[in-house]
Amino acid sequence: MLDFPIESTKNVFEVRGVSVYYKNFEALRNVSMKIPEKEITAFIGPSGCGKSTLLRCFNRLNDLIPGAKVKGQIYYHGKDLYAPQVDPVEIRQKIGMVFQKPNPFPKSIYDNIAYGARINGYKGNMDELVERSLRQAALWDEVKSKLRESGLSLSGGQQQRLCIARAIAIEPEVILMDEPCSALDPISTLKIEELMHELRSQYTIIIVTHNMQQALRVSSMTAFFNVIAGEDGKRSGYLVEYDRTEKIFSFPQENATQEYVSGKFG
Amino acid sequence: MINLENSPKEANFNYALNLRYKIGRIFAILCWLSVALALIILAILLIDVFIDGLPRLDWDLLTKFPSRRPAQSGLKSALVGSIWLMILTSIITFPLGVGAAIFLEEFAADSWLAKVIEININNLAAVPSIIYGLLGLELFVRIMSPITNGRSVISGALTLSLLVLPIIIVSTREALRAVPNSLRQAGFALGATRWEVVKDHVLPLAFPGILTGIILALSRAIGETAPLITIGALTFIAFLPPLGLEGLRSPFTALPIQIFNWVSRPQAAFHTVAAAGIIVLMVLLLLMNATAIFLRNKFQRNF
Ligand SMILES: Nc1ncnc2c1ncn2[C@@H]1O[C@H](COP(=O)(O)OP(=O)(O)OP(=O)(O)O)[C@@H](O)[C@H]1O
Ligand SMILES: [Mg+2]
Repeated sequence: MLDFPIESTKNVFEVRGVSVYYKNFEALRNVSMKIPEKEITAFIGPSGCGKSTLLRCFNRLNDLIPGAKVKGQIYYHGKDLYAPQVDPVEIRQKIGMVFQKPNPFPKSIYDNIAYGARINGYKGNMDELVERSLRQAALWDEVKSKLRESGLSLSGGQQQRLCIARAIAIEPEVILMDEPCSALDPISTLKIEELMHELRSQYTIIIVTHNMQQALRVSSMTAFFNVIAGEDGKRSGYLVEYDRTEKIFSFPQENATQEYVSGKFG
Repeated sequence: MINLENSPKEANFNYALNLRYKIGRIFAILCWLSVALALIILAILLIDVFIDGLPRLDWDLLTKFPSRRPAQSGLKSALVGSIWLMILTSIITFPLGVGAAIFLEEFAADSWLAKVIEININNLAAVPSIIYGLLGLELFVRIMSPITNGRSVISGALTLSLLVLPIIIVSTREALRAVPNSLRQAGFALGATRWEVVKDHVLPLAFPGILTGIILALSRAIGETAPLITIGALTFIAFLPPLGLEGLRSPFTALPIQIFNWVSRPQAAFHTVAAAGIIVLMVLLLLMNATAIFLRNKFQRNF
């Protein structure tokens, strides 16, 4: 696979030969890549090619799926994420996640944001943190008058922004975003993209998106995944190409990439 | 009515909406009939018991101890005994049953051990109650008699606990399983430990369901006669267990046993007392169910 550290930046993650299995099914095959620090990396590819699966490897959320198995190594700042002495809880405090489907807690809007900060022993002013997080997620104006109401009373797009606010409230180092804008209108989408631009100076972000324009707008690196059907008809995902975003969209090396980014399939 | 006559799609579909509505109506009527049937049977039973028991449903019934004379017989000791049993059984089974279910569902996950335990518990839930009575007789009344003092309140409560534990574990697991996984993931992704996820997200959501399961299990326990007779609960008790720890070791009787005893007497007057006792038992049961509904609504958050 391609191996190119971006000049003058450190890598947060180094993925080496990672394959992910659900029971006997190989969902993702032999992925190797490096995720640069304080940049936005986009994962694109057709549905079912394992983007969410790979994303869940970075905060060890696959540990919670019965039967899921990760082979190969992922290094986080040079340390093996899957080494036995690594505590996944500690990892997840540093690596936040926004899920593909909005999943707010059935608690008040305020508590949705404050919860993570509380369990992680946040020492600052909670009200300020809640307001700042909601502002960053472009949700503050819509909810400031009803912070005590249930997070579930919000619309789907508002719930997704609530989940984004919840993730950034614990001030992680890395934020994994699984199609954060798929339920949002163009204006909220733009706000989230602005948020990402704002966050990129402090955070490393990995975003899964089906929106080519979005990948082009926000990311500096893009990884294209595809699926191949094995002899048994099972479809495994693999990394086709990973490069600077401009290159992926303008001069892709692979035919499949070319076709995907120009909208011929997917 | 929208006119679809000329729609080109009409040819591809046979909407048959009238037929589909008719099937729906027939189904609703069938459901309604089964509810009506259940209610009618219940009403007949109630009316029958009320006609038999109403003459003896007075204050004396609740405040007098059993007696040889039916007119002076009361079920004070049996009522208090049943309340003792229920309180003790819930104290014993709530932490054990809920704890076991949480362990199996949230912590042991898919392990081999958990599967073996699960199969066993499901089987235990179906074991006839008299078997638990025999186990209680040997274990609590005989082997543990230095602690339990033989045929005592605590022996009875422990036996009933054995009986309801599997039911509570199964229903609690069901309630835990109904909590969507995405919620657990949300908690874990914020760096919560497993215990924090269980305590802050899973339990609050599952709690009303857990409570319902426990009350249903206890409602079963309060009507159980066979295991208590097996462990040899007395039927003629003219004192109350003293309040406090000593009470645990006191002999006892319970409502179903007292009723059973009255029913099997030859005098017709005792049958009237028995019918009145059944009404008391039923009121107690309804009270427990009402408590369950009240608690469930209280804990069922508006979120
Ligand atoms: N929990 C799971 N158990 C079993 N198989 C799974 C599980 N999650 C995902 N898979 C399988 O792994 C493959 C990759 O799924 P994944 O969710 O990673 O795809 P994706 O690239 O995120 O797709 P999408 O763009 O539709 O979200 C799919 O074939 C899917 O069926
Ligand atoms: Mg996905």
